Amino acid sequence: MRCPSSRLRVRPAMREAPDPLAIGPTERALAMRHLPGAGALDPAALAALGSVARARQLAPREPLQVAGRAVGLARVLVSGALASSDGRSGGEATDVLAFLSGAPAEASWFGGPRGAVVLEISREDLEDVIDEVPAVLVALAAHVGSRALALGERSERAALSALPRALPSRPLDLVERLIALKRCAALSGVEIDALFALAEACRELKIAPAASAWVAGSRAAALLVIVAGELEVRGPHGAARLGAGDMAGEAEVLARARWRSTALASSPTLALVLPRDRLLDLWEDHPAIGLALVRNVAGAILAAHRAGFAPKALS
Amino acid sequence: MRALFVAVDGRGLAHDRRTAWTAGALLFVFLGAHTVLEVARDALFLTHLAADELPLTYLGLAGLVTVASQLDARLSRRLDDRWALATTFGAGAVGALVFRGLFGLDARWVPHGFYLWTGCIASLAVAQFWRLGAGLFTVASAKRFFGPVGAGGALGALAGAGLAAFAQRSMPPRDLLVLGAILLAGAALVPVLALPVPAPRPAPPLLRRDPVARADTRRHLRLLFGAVALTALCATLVDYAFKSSIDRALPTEELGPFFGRFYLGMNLLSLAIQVLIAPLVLRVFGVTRVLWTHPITLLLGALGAALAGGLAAVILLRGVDGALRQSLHRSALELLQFPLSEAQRRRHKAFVDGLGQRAGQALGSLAILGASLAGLGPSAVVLAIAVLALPSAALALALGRSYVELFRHRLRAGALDTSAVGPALDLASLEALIVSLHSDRDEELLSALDLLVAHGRGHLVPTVLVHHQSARVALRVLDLLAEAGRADLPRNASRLERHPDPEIRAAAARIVARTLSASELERRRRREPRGAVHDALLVAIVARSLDHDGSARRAIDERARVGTAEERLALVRAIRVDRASSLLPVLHALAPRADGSLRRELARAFGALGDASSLPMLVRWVGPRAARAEARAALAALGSVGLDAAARALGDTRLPRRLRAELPGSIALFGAPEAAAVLFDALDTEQDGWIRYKCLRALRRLRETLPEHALDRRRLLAGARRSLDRACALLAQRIVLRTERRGAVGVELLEPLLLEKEQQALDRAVQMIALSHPLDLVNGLVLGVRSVDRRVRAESLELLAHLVDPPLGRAFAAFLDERAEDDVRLSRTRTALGTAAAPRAPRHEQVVGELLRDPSDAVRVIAAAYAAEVGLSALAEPLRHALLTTHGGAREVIEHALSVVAPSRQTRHA
Repeated sequence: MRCPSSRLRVRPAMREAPDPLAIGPTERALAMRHLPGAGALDPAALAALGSVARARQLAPREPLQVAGRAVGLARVLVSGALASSDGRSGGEATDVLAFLSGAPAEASWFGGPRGAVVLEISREDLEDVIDEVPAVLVALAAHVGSRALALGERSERAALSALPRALPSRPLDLVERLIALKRCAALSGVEIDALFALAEACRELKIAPAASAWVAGSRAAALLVIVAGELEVRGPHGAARLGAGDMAGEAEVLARARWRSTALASSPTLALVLPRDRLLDLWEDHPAIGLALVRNVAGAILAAHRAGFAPKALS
Repeated sequence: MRALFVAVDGRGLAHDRRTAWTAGALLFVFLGAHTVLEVARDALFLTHLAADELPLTYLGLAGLVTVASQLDARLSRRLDDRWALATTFGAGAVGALVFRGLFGLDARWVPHGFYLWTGCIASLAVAQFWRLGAGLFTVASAKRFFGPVGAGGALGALAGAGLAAFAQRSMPPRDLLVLGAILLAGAALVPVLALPVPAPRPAPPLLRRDPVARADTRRHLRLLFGAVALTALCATLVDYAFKSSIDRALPTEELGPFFGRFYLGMNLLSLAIQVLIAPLVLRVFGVTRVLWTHPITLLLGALGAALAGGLAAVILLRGVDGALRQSLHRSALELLQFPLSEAQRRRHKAFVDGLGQRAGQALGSLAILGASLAGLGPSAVVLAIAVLALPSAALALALGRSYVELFRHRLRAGALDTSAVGPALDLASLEALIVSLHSDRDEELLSALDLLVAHGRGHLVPTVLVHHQSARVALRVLDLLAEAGRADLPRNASRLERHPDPEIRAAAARIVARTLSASELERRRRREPRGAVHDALLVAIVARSLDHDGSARRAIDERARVGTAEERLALVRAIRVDRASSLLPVLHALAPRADGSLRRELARAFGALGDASSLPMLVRWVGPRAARAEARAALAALGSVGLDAAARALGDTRLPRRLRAELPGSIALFGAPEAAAVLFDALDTEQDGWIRYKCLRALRRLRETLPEHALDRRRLLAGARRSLDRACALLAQRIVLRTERRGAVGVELLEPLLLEKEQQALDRAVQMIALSHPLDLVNGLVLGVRSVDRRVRAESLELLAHLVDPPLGRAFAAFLDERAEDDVRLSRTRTALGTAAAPRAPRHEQVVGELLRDPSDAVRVIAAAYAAEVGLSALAEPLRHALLTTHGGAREVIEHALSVVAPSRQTRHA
């Protein structure tokens, strides 16, 4: 039961598990490269993903996923081909954005003319792997962040504006920060234990009227949750207003990108700042935070697709 | 109200109740009309023809219903069930009026034709009505409302009989057809005007294409057909035995009044069962257990009648059979069709119900004719009923299993089918690995190496890779091959002794040293300058017990004390590779200050040397991420002592929470039933919900490697029960809080926190049940009971109820009853769990006080802030206690709370 390398996190238990299709570990790891963002993962991380996946063989035209139903499993192709009800064929991973966002499948998927073999990963298994190899979450997050940024027009339009609140005169205590994070829509679904860890990790940023919260071209090193006040965001695709409860910079931070817009405070504004490095540290203990951000960004991408925004580039 | 569920689709209890009333009224009118027509039919038939022509008519009816059910299947593809039913009622009304005219012809075929027409319309309409009902209700609401709806029918039959008797005083039987036609025409308006459009319930396409699911569906339909036919066959025989006995026992003039009283009594009993008993029994015992009532009743009744031989026994048999068959048994048979999709019901329901019924009657008639011809009396028929109860019981058993299996298919077909069979791809895998060994990417190559070794194919690693240009790769190969004891390694390694990289030189020296003589080893040690190679030689000397003067050991001790980080790392690696157990004290001396790579290397060394004295250290290292994987692997390598150490640490609440949370995952790596037992123990005793959650996750991992029976089902069920009890306690806290809470902390943090914990407890309970079943159920059930789709929720719950014993199933059903208020859910769940009397509703302060003792900082802080927000001065002491175990910003919140709730004492305390 010894782990031969510190880099390898193949669970011994999985090695002994019977695999009806007897798909070898390398095939599994290679297939996992089809998961969005997984191309950036090292083989040990891919092997960890592959080790938890379950193999399934599909007969020709055998249904795999039904349009409109929740996507409970991420699926990647090992051999053969897949076809979809919307005319796509040869897909190597099916509706992974929907899987990540919890949205229903956009299309039905079937085995191709000669059938297919796929590997399936459940949410629970993915969380298990992320628990062991946080790099998997970082890679997934970077991918969805990049895709969201490719939908530049969307990212500046999608922000919600809640009612601005009065700026508190003293620093927020831990519980007030927790309430502010709980009110943030982008963190909805994150358990309070995890939000508490975030609240402990974040710091306050007060922005005077007309001062900038961030400037286009600078590196997005932290994401912001606006507690009170309002920011006016101007980018290449237009302007948007962000108010209390809005989060800014999740796509940029996930993608390790630079700000593509400039935000100026239109009134005295208070924000909670979560530095990227601290955020990634927290993901290790609370993968739910990263998964929530990925879910929200992936959901926004799908919503933008439905609304007719075409991605400028798919990574 | 029901925030526990993700969303509620708007069809709540009030909606279902309205629908049930309307459906009951519809059935009342329809069966009233049918009874009126039935009275007219029997009277007209016996007026025009002899009774011995009836068996022929029964056979004709069976054939006609077969054809009609096929027509209905086609019709239902074009019309929704409401319109199909209205059409049947309309056709029945028109037909009745037409036959009223035809009876004027006085032709012999007319009574036959009318008998066939009314029988056919009734068979179709009944099937269509219940098919529509299945579209209007979920399985859970059907259990609640099908009884009362059926009672509407029983009442309708009673009213119809009364109406017919009353009307016959002033009109001939032929005119009853007009009365029946009017009632049927009225009934035709109800489905389209008053009933809602049934919710679509398509079969998941996966289910349609799944050959196993299709085979199981066909089997279920065959079983249903068999059950309906066998019930009708038994009913015909019971009726014959009853009537024969009555005919012999009573004078002709008493027959009419007796039948009147008997049917009135039987219908009243049926009505009482339908209204009062059926919904309760179906909810409490479930469909599959209720199915047993009919065969058991038949068996006991028939045996009683055969043995006692009295008239009373036969009357009792007929009465109970009639009352149960029309109420409880009928509702159960309808519920058994719920796992079928809408399309399947459309296609098969009329066939199963209509033809099954008629085929059973026809078979019964033929059997009676045969018995008469053979000279057998009613007592032989009674014995035949007792015998037929046995296949009925077998059918009930098979139907119960098939019902649960179909729900499983539906659940899996949603998204979770992960079963697979197919050809082996092992060779391709090996080929790919070998190809990866030639990769110019170090990561890929290293990964391929690890994977080959992990799968027992280390002998395929070519020795020549020790000369790889990448130092990382060369070192890894040297390490792997040295562990494997490859015979060709020393020859290749000797060429590396002049390698520019000191680490590679040291690794090569460790390998070559094994083959050197004592004198040669000593000579090289003196020649080699201080560094990794020198240390490797020192370790080799000690490991081979050649250190006669102790100088090598002294040098090693010094290196461990004052060496650089690289030197220490190389030293530990050498001790591991040479399995130098005598140098364990050196490792222990290094351990307290070790971090990062040295800690990882030490953990590997402790595992390789099987050092039980390192267990406390290894357990501690499981906590931080730095060497967690290596520490876990080392614990697993130590076997049962490692498991014992991990188990002890898991139970030690003085250890940091973060560390304890990582131990269940480490225990799962042991992959043995003993590991499962440890996790069960922790689940039984652990107070911290997070650790319990981790234990459950670990059990799930274990379940992947162990067969289902390896996990103790009894303990799983007990755990599920406790978790549900815990969910109840949290719900009780939430109810108390809801009535008292004020302010942002209470509304936005504390109540959601309790709800989260309640949900987690429920998930734990469901997972524990699912863990004793095939793995695909674990996810399916957890997702199913939380589904936004009411039907999926109801079906998951139905399946869940069949996986556990009835009280626990009832408790789940009560807890997940989305229509009931929280306090009702709580009380019903606790009643089902048998804990109703134990816990009294906690007081407000008590709830918050308990939260202040929670192991989680987050919970304590939120509870403290809430105590301050609402001014719970009684909580000063728990707040002071919470202060002792809290630090940083969290401590500030608790201090503030304390200053608010007990300002003066707090000052004194400070």
